[in-house]
Amino acid sequence: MTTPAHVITYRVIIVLITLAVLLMVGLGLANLGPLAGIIGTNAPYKVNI
Amino acid sequence: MIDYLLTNGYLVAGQLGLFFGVALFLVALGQGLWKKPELLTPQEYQAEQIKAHPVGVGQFEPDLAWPFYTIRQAGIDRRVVKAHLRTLYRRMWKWPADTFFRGRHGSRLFWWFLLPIPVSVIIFLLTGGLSAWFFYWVYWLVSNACVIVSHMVSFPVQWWLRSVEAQRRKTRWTQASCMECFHVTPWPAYQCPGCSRLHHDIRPGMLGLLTRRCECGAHLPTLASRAGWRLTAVCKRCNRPLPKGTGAVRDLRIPIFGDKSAGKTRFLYASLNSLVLTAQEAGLAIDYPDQESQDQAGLGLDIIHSGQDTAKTSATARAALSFRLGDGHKSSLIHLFDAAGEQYRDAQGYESLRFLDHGQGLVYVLDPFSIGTIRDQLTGHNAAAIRLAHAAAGDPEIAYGEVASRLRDSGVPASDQRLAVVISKIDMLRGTGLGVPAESDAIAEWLLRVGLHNLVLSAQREFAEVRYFTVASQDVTADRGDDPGVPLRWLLTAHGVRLPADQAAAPRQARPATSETAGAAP
Repeated sequence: MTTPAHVITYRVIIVLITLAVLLMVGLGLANLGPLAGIIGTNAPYKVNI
Repeated sequence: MIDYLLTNGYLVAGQLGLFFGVALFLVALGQGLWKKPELLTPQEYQAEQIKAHPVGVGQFEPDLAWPFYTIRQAGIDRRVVKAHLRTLYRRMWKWPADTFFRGRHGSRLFWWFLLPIPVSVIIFLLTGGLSAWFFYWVYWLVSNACVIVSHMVSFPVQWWLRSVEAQRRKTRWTQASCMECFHVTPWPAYQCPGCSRLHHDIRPGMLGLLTRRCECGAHLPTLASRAGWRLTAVCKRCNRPLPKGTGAVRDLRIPIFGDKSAGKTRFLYASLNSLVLTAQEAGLAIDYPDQESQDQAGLGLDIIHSGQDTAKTSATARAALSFRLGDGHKSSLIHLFDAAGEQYRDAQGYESLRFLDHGQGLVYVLDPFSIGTIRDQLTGHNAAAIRLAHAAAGDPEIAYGEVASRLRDSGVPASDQRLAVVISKIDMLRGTGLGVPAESDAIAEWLLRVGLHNLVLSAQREFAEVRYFTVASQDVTADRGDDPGVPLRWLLTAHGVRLPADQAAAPRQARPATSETAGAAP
């Protein structure tokens, strides 16, 4: 059965919000010293938000 | 580069694992939501609803439409994505586990001799797994937050919309009534324009707040005030189509009852004629929602205009005459019911008189020539008048009592209904030299004087409001005191119909009771 449009819309919205949250978390972690090593240590990933 | 890898190999494995986790999560998401989704179909949701709330006798199954995403589908999506992620992650571990721990790809000692390789792979997989599951739980949190927010918004909106609709139904009398089976429901069923499937409960709910999506994919408005104009309304009992706007416009039902030959049909046509004239003067449209009503009205109005006698109503004739007063959203559907007098006395006619149970106002047509006192007065010197009037033979109190007791037996709260007691053939009665007062209270007193105590007293006890009228179908007096449209206008305006030059609202000029007034002291 074809997925109805409202289901697709909801899914896209939830996935976009999830990705946005993950991006925020990622950028946040990039600025945290103890975890900076895992993500990329010094610059160039370091971003001030 | 090699030096960097040699010194930071585990760190690189961890970093790569992090990106691998992102990819793993995205693949699981894609598979769960797009490639191999699991959909909750309308049929499955309906089955769940029926299982949770079994359908009782006389109830309808829940409608077949797509439910809100947040009701069940969001939870299914989370479960499916989780299952895909677990499967993918296990598959990623299969080769390393077989190789490093189970020894299925050569000696375990050999692999552990190359210590950095197994450790790097395990770090890579562990970091990837941790990050993938972390991403999944973020998705889980976001999805749940959306569900909570959606419920927090949709439930109050649903409650508000339903309240507004309920209030509209109550104040505007917008029930749906079928003129074939006389079934009345708060709202009708509506037919899907795509697949013709019936939706029995179109109210805002878990299938949609403002619109719902039928199983076939067609969008339907959820409020009866909108659906009435965009969809075909259908009777929930006999599945016959109802007039356009049903469920959205005012729907008034006025049964006209009385004894055989009391003048019910004559009154119906004469009052309709009066209303048509009033509407024409005010530029209000009157049309007929079905061909049968149009033919019946055409015939009846011709009879009134030509002054012919009204034929006796057949027991098999259609009881309802419907017309629409005004046009568009402010119009009113008005149904006048007239059944043959015999049916009120026939036990088998019970079903055919179901319209009595749902009338907002009733008209009782009383033939003055059937009143014993009047007959006695005329028998001596004007017996021909009784013959000419085709007087009803029965006792008017019995005719009234049969309907009143039926209403009581059916559990109909008659105290919510208004009753117009109409003294018919008043022009003929005046022709005999007898007079009847024109004002409501005076007519009631006159009825008491001529011996109809039971009728007057029980009517006032059993109905919310009773008014008395005298009507003539031909020789209406100059002040329109005997206008047959007045009782009808009184009942219509009492239920919110706005009529210009409303005769009922204006105090009627009471004609002085003469010494000829029937029932006066001799």
